[in-house]
Amino acid sequence: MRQHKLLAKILTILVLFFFTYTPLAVAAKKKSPKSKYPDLVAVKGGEPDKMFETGIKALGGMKRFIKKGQTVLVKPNMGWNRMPELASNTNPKLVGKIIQMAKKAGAKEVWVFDHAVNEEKACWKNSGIEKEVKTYKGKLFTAENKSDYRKVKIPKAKILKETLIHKRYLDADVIINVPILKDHMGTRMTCAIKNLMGVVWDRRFYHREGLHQTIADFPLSKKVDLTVVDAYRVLMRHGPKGGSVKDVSLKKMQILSTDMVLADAAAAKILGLKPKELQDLVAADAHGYGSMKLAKANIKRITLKDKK
Amino acid sequence: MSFKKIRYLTQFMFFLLTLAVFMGLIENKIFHSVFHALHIFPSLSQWDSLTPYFAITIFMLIMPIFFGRIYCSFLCPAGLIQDVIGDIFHKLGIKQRTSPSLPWLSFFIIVLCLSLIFLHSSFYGYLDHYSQLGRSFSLLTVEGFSYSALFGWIFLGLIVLVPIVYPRWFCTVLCPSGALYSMLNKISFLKITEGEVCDACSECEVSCPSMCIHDGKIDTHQCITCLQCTDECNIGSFEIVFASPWKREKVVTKTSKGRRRFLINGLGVFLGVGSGLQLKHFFFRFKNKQLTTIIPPGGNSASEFFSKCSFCNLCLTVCPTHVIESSLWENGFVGFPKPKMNFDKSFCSYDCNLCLKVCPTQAIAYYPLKDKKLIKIGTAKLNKDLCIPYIKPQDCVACAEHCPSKAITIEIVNKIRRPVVDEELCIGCGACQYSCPTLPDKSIIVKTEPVHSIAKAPPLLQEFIQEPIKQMESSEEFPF
Repeated sequence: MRQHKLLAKILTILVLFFFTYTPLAVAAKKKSPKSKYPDLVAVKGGEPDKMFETGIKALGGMKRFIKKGQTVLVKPNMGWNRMPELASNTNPKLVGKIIQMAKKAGAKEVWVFDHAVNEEKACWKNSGIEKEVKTYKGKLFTAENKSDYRKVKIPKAKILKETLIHKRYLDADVIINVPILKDHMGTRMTCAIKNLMGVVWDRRFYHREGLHQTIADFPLSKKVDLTVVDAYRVLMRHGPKGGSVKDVSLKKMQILSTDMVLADAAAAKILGLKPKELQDLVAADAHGYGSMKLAKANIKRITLKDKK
Repeated sequence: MSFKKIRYLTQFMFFLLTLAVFMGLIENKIFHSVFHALHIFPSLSQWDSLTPYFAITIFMLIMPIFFGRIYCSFLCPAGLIQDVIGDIFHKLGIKQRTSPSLPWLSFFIIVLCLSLIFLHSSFYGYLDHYSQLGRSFSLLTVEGFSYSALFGWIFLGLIVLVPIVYPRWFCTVLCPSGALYSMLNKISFLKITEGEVCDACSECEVSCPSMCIHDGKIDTHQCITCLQCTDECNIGSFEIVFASPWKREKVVTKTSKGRRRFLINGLGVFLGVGSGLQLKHFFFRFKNKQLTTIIPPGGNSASEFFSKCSFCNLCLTVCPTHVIESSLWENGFVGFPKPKMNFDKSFCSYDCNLCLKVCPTQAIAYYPLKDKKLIKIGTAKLNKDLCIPYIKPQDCVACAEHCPSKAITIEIVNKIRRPVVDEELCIGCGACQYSCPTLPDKSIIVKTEPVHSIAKAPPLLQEFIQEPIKQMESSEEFPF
């Protein structure tokens, strides 16, 4: 009898165990696509291309974002006729690596363009990005023809209800935003959401109607799949144009995230600003397509060791 | 290989080269200088600023004394167009005629154009084939249909439509280079002599590109030394002779007809000089103060620029930002249709001196990029009654963001960022006017400088030139 009682006890415990744990395990399994990857990956201490390789691995690899046969838009900041050392444009090595890995992951075509501030052809050449795009067989497009832009309505926007957007941005299956982190005389900081100002035709509208709100309104038009913030060389003063190496600090950092508001918030801290100080970021957070609350985010920090 | 094939080959190569120059595909300064020096008009206008390339122009000027009009027959791109049109319509069976042989008109045109060049006036640009060709190309490709493009259309009509009936008529009637060359061709070493025997087969008459052979005799005024007749003649009547002109048999011209011709030609010369002086005197009264448009960097001063520019408008096509436009009557007759900068449409790129390189007359004089960056062509004026941050609490520093010479800085008043202009640093590139968002009037506008000066160098530019690229590595941890 005693043996029977013991057996019954063990059985009840086992049954209870089973009933309490299976739902948890199922729930955990259902939750997994969200929590398997960190919200933000921050890499530090290597060359831009190496940092991207490590960072994207931690974020689930390039195949998480790109399916075979898709077209990918890589949107760097290359609006200034400056050399890479002056940190006005996105690091060419990083852009090259992203194109290479996107192709490897099965992308049909990789597009690159930016509505430049300076003379476009000179920007392509001196930023070093044209060479990288050619090496890895991406496609570089001009953004100077108004006929390439299509009118898009953004109903949820507060000010930017309607704007002309470049067709390559609208037609791409996957969008990878590759801004460079810089100081900015107008918005204090330029990074991920500000970089998307380079796909619209009429930037004067932004300036005229309120720079911060319009910048925050724009990402409502289309989802950006991945944001890679280049903080290898950071322009700390006299942005966005720069022009002196004295203003450049070699931070050797990179931020990867699917949430560009979160990426911007982290980037702001690198520049020594509080995310709450940035009006465009606060407005973007209010729209709800991203969150600037770093404390709540699952951040993975990786430090690479230089192999010398 | 017949002369016709060689001629078409060299002409076609040269035509492609010209197209490459017109389209701005070549950026080498020396190439442009050498290429433009090959055309005596408009390169002769550089006579007062002796560059080494002017030697080439001088060579091209005296070359016809030795080799006849081989520029016209073997190189000229405007000639090729007429040749091709003439050939096609000849094969289609259109009856073609010789264009009128008017030596007095040639005398008039050549004296007029040369006197204009030496009087520092650029009205010869209305006649000169190279300026016209450049103008046609650039105005038709850049502007298409506009009042100034009318000139391009007219010239295109002259060299495309008229040669259907009168082949090569422009070269023998209107072209100033052609007129000068035909004068020199008469005393040239290289000469085609006609034999006494002629079987009147008229092969040569038909094949001659300028149709200047009549009954086996060549009209030396219209001959372009293409040497094709020596190939065509069945009995070898034509021969190429290279001998000094004074050793050749002289044709007796002391007849009453000869005397009359001399008088008419003299009248042509007289009229040429006279009208040159008149044109310069009455139409070229331009004071620097009158300038209303902005002229490209390198123009030095408005009067100098307008006196040199033969309005070929090549700067329009090469300009990467398309800021240069062809002006209308803003500066009167003198300024029509010469280039101006339209800063509402675009801006002058800070890191570019292409128009300075391509200008065939050096009206836009060449300066290295380093010097061009400091040429002050205008001054930005900020209108604080329109500028957004001055009238309402809203950030806007679009102009400061775009300013390449650090002339526009920002000041923060009540947490609002607004622009401030330093006129000493401003070079008038128009980046601020272009980027200014206010409507309908821009709140920052570049005022023209009739006489260009050198602006103060921006502080950071100097630093950048002196300092080697060296960066401080920070070893800080992630701040988040």
